[in-house]
Amino acid sequence: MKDQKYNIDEMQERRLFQIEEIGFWLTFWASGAAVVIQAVLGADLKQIAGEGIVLLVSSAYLVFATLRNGIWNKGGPAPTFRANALVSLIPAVMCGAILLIRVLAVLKRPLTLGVAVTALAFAGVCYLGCLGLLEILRAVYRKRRAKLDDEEDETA
Amino acid sequence: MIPIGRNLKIKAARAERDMTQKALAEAVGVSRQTMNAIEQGDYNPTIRLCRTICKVLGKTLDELFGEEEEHEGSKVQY
Repeated sequence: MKDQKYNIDEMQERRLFQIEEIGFWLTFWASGAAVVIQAVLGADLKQIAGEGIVLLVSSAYLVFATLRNGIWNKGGPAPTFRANALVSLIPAVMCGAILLIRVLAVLKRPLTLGVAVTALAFAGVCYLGCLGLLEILRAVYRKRRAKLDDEEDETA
Repeated sequence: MIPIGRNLKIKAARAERDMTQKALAEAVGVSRQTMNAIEQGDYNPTIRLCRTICKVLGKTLDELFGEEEEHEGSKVQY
C-alpha cells in the first residue's frame, strides 16, 4: 500500500510555528525558573547543570540566529545603552537576591554587613557583566544591520 | 498590523461559480479551515495563495483582494 504524504497548508504551517514558539518559550522559562528555584533551595552546580546546559544552548542559538538576521528583539525596548542598562538590573537583582537567600536560608548565617556587602558586590559584578555583554551584542547587531541594509539591489 | 475584514468578494465569486468552500479549498490546495479563515478575515494569505485563488475563481487580485477605494488603473490581470 502506497503511503500518502501528509501536507499542511500555509495557514496551518503558520499556526504550527506559533504553537512551536509558545512551546519553546514555555520550556525556556520553565528551565530558567527551575534553575532559580534550585539555586535558592541550595542546589549545587552539578544539580542544575542539565537545565543550565539547555538554557545556555538555546540562548546561544537565539543570540546567534537573531544577530545573523539583523534582528534585536520582538517589539521590546530599542537597542540603546539606556535600555541595556535598565534590562541588566533584572539579572543583577536576581543574582544578588539568590546569593542572599542562600546564605541566610540555606547556610543559616546571620545577616551581617559583610554578607550584605558581598551580595551587593555580586549583584554589581553581574550587572556589569550583563551590561558589558549586551553592549557587545548591540555593537555586533548594529554592524550586522548596517551590512544587511547596505547590500546592493540585484538591479543596481 | 492592519486588521483585515471579512472577505465577502471571495464568497460572491464562489457563489457565481456555484462552488462550495470545500470545493474551492480543494481546487486551491488548502484546507477548508484555511479557506474559511480567509473569508472570515481571520487569516491574511500570502500573495502566492491569493494568486491561486484568483486563478481558480477567474478574477483579478483587485477584484478579490483590492481595497474599495483603489483606482481601476491599478488592476492586475492573471
